[in-house]
Amino acid sequence: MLKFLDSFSTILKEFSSDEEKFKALTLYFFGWSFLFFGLLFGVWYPVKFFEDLLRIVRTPDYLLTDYIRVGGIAAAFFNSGILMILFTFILRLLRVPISGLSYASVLTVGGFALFGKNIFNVWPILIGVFLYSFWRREPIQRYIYVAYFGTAISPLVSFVAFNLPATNVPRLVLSYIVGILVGLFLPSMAGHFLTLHKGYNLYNVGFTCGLVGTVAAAFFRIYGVQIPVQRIWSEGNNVVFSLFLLPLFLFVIFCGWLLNNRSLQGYKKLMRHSGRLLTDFVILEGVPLTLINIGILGTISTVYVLLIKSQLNGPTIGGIMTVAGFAALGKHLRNVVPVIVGVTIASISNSYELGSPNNVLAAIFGTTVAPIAGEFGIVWGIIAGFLHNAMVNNVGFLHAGLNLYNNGFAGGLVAIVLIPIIKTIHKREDL
Amino acid sequence: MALDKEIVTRVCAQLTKYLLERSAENLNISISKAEKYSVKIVSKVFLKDDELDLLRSYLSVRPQEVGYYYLPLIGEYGSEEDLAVVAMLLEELELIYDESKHELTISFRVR
Repeated sequence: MLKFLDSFSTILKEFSSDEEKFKALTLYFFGWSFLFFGLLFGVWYPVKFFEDLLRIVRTPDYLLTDYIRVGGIAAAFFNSGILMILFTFILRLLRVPISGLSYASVLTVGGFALFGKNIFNVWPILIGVFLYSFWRREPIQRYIYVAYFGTAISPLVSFVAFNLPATNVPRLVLSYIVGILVGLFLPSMAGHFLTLHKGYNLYNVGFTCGLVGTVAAAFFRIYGVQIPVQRIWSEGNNVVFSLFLLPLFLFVIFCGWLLNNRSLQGYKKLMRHSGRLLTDFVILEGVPLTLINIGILGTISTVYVLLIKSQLNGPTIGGIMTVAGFAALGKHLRNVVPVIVGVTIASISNSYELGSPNNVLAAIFGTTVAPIAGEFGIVWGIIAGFLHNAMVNNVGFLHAGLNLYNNGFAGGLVAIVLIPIIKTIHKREDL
Repeated sequence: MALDKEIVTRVCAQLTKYLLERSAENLNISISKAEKYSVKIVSKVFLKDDELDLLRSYLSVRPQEVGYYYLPLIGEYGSEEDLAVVAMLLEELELIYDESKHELTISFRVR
């Protein structure tokens, strides 16, 4: 056993000698894991697999649309894995240095590719952002992450493509035009909104897309296009997904631990950061500790879903992957736990069941306001979580679910409301 | 404001805040422009070893385009982590600390 450990450690260290390649490899690892997991279920029935994939593409996928229910495990995980691989490949192609932002964006895209992003609807947003950088004569590397996170609004593309009352070709063309236009304005808007919540909401582009979605939904509604509420939510796969996710995250912790000279040294220091944008753990603390943090937060989120007797499915795994991704960009145990406690207190006392989609998603994604706990302490973290639970269950109507990062939108509002209050009570002026 | 002017303004504000929070006794900023903006900040400030190491590690971050996107956050709040974004926007960054005189000199050029 010890011999195996030594040889695995040697291989890992050899790989990590070229740091940039190793970081990309770890990103690819998540993509390939999801892809293989999907193929494990789909390779036996190829025709059904492609039909399922097509169903995922054609289904209106505004919130809440669980691709596992729509197209099955195979197609959903294939969709997620292939997007993570392609998005990592694009980063490498553009020679973007792999940082915490890369982990956060790629893992978030992978997570949301289980309930809203797919191989059809993400590209126009990317094209729009590319055109923006071309038009501004600025390198695309500057805005690539806005493009990645901006795919939060991709259900808008699918909605126009498959739901507008028109014939197929004009709808498809129009959907891409709409997506490109949104992508074109997204970098400027996202940059502008950064200062509204002062970096205390980690899903900044989610906040931006919430406003874009609100505008889009408002237009649809005044012209009589209704966006019906939908809740497509799969159940009964807790065992199979636990057997996939827990070993995956434990393996990531194990690799980080090995690379960190078989210790957790430095993890306490990592937790000293408030986590406010832009706390890039890959840059500030290195890859090994970041991997440990990703694994720990991924494991804890998975266990949380199981503990409250909720379901591991597209949306919750999406949330877990987002938390894991942002474990490279600001989230850690110290700032995440108080928020989850706050959301859970609200969950116990509000009118929804503890394990209902409303509550479980608010708890996992609500960690977007983790920097509030990181900067102002446990009590404010709990209050932020409590407030977030209330907000997130009410703002979805505004954008009709067209913005997948509903929690990013709600988290931004929580930060905007809460920071001045904290400032008043603490009499702090350095905010 | 032109981007390079905005960067100089925000970066200087961020570094000034960082040093003033560490009880800098005095601080001089000299900005000159040839082809690009060059900045030299000299400050009399007491920095512990770990603070100095942290500052060095923040400022050793190599230039990255994404720093421009996060520019609006720099300089407003003086959070330590923002120094890593600062470093993404600069080149030829040098940091010298004279422990006997408690004098810190940071010089850089805007990319």
